[in-house]
Amino acid sequence: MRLLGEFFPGKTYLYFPFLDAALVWIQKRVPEWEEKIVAWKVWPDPDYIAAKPDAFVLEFYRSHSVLNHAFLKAVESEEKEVLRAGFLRLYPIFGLEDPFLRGLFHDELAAGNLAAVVKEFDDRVRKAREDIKRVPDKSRLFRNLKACVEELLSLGVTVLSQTQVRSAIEKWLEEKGCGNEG
Amino acid sequence: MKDNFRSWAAWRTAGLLVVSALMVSCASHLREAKFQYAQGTELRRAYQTDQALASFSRARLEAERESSRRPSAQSFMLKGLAELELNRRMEAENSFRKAFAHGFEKGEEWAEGLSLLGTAVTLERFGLEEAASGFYLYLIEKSKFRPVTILAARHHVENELLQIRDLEGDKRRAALARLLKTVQRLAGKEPSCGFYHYLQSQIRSHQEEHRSSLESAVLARELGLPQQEILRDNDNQIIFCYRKLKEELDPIQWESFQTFYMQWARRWNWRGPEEPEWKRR
Repeated sequence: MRLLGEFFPGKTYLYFPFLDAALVWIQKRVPEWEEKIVAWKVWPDPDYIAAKPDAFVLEFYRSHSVLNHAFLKAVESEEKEVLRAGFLRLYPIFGLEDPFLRGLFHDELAAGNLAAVVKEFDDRVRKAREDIKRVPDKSRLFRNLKACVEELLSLGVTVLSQTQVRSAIEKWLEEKGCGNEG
Repeated sequence: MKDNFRSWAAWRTAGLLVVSALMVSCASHLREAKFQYAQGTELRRAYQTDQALASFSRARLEAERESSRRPSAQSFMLKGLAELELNRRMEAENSFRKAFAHGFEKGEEWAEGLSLLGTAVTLERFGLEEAASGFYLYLIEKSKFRPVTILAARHHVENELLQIRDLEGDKRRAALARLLKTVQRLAGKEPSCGFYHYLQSQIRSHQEEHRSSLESAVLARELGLPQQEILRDNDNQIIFCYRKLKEELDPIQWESFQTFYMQWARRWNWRGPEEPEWKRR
């Protein structure tokens, strides 16, 4: 992690998407994996229909105990505006289980501070996209990424699907104590 | 004299080799662009979004190399298609216009569709939803370029549902029925497009017709959806309808419904009626 820390000091949340992409490509022994990482698009704009009926929104909060607890008052009194605003930011994390967003808000999610996720969502996502574009020395980044992936593979991570790759990295980062300091 | 001839022959051979290498390289750029584009489509269908985007990006690069060396309708069309997949709409529009200039007849029509779509998205972003809606409807009815029709339908449905959500009574019912009819017309023209069934499922959910919403979502899942996020959202819709029907149906109806539902859940390898394989435990 120290190697990646050279590129993203204080922005450990950015390890996740890079490692994810690198592991997928290196494991598959694709020769042009570096090119593929550069071409790779982080958080493409989602195209699902976000305008849900209120019953769906309410059910979303009720069916996740963390959300139900954090928004108890709004859920009980069915405060449409509060619930709808939170839904737009929390649904990709809890409903669609987006691994990058989970990494991005790792600390807030671990502390159960969902109000902070809702409040900081737009700014943090925008900033993360900009930070990734600004990586200064890509060839050194690739060398270090390869070293990290080799460490991951030596731990016996066997890649079966992209979803499994993501949860393996998430677990590994958690074990390494890499919270979000960004 | 003999030496001059030898040297000329050597230069000619070298020249021919360079020319043929260039020709092979040009041919391989186009071939590689086609291969990468086809692979991207395949990967997208398998919900491997990251890999699909990388393939489309490579297809774009190869088509660009080809069109700068040997501009042709085919190379610009491929470049435009890859750009569209990468959400680079303005560049795609430009590529289709160039494809038209090189003899691809549909190029201008495709570029116009994209230009109108871009205008509608901008209008929407600046709060002119009603004006945007007119453009989307026009594209839904008239566009013969499938990606544009799909994008216009998605924007139109989202836009309309946002406005309908706060309507009540007859006004709400009529607006939802109108919207459903629009999407049904599209699905009628292309019944194998999973995304149109996904849109119908979303509208029916607003109509509180949970059984029909579930059936459309099942159809959408079976036919395939363009993105992993949409697939997951569609799964969540299936689970939501399942829960609602549990409240709405009487015990006998529920039992028969559950048998039907579990057949699908098993077919998709779900861990349980509310547990798709991608969901955390």
